Amino acid sequence: MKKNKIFNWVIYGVILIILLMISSFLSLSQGEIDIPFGHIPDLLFQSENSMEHVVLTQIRLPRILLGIAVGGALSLAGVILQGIYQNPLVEPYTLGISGGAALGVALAIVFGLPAAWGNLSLPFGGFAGALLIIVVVYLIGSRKSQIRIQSMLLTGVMISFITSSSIMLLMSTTNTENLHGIIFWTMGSLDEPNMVLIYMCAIVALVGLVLSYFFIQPLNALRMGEEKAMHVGINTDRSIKFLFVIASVLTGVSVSVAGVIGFVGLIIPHLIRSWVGTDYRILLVSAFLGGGTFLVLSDLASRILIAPNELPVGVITGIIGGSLFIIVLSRSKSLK
Amino acid sequence: MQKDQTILKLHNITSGYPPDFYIRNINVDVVQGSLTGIIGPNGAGKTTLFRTITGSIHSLEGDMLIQEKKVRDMNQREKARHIAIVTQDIESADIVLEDYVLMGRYPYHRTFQVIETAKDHEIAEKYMRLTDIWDYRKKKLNQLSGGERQLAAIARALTQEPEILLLDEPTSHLDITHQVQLLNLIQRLNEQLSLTVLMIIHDLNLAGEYCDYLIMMNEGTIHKIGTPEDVLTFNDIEDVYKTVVITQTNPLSNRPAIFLVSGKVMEQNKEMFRE
Repeated sequence: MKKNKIFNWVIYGVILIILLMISSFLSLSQGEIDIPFGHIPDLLFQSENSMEHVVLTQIRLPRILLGIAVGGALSLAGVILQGIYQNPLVEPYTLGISGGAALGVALAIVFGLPAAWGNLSLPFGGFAGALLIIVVVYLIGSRKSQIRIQSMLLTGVMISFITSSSIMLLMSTTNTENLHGIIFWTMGSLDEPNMVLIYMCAIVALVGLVLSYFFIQPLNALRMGEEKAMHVGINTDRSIKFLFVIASVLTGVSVSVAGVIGFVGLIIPHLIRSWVGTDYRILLVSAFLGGGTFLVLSDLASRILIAPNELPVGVITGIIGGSLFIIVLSRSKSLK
Repeated sequence: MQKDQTILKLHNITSGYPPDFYIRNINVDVVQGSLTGIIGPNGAGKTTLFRTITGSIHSLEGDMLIQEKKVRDMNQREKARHIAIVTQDIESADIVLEDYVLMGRYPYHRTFQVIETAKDHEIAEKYMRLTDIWDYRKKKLNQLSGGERQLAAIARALTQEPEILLLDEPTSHLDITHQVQLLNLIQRLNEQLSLTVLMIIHDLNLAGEYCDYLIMMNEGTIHKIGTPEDVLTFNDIEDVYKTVVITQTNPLSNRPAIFLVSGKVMEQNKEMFRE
């Protein structure tokens, strides 16, 4: 390992961590009540009875943590999926996983599960839906012992059509209250009152990041294509299966907890790749940090743009993310 | 290991995509340290044979042995330490050349190894210098010319330190300067590293000039195996390629040389060709 390469990587990492910290502090200080930067440490650790303390620890901090976890997980899933499909247009939602989760949630709402079993039934319904789709896509894609990447991709795309039509079917036949619930959920939000779900999301995201580092060799070798990765001794079938499961679970958990938040898993991997290069050793962690930063900032924008009302964070990620992407694309020739 | 020993043995291989096209009953003994060319017209089964050896197509029947060990008993990593492969398509990935060549060390890495060792760098440098691409090591593959990328692919293959180097039409995208340079390099590698080379090659003159042995394929089977003098004869070429050529001998190398004849000239010399 060359020293200057490691030095570059450390620089990238430090810059991304600083950006994440800045966005987190911004997000802590801004909102319905503005809290000056200088007061944040004091308010966090002392004066526990003040309103500001409650706002910071019970509203903003959990949102930031969830933002980092979901943004990081989606971006990481995107970078992994683009790697195994060798297709820059693939994102976590291409494979129908979010569609499955949305369908699960929609069914839970329509059948009145929240009233019967509490609000936790929504994320669990979502995760069950996502899991079902993962299994279906995986089984169809890996028939005949050898995994077939392109057929998996097509299956996923078709399944997302089926699930989105099914959701529309549910929406067109259910009552207004349920309809509102489904629409609100599919727009995505980091407003999650249950701390257990937030911690779970954070743990899954971190475990996903660590596990993905066990597959550095396959991911790097797959840049040459599946066949050539095999030529340098990579067991591509096995690696692709594991990576697919990692990316799917990351997506499934994120979508179940935070709803459908688009574009993070498509745009952040692209932007980060054009900046740090294609080596997955730096790319994975950078995509994770970049995704977290982007979602924390998007959530901040969604809270303050039309305060005291809130915009769905998916609206912000789509509009800002899409515009940012076009700007970068038109300026950079290396981005293909 | 001494010369004249079989390093790669294909025993009764049947492979391909039945029922339309496949190769049948292929028996080949590739001699240790030899430079062997696979020739034959389009559709003769050269690429099917190549892809069967590389493992991209699983053979339906028969066995492939490297140094008397069955390849089907080897895992991917072990196989990649014996055979390195340079495919026909030009590498166009967005990868820094040095990193690309270093991937040739993967067969020697532990499964979850993340960082290369100093030795890996040493070996990669050796072969980047040998293939004359050391100066471009910081460039991305998609910034290099076709010839340079082909050299990069060879450097990556050599970094695998294989016993057998397999190439699929290594000269097909190159002009004659680069064709000769590349084949000279392959010849040098073959002699200096006593590397066994097996390559598909379309150009019969280059095949005759550079190869120790030729495997001539036709319609999914082996038509003939032997030295270039044995294989590149008027009759064999006419049988397999359905083309009339003039065969002579290169006065310097004493290797067979082949002249193609245009339809117009053939018409003008009808009498001669009738014999």
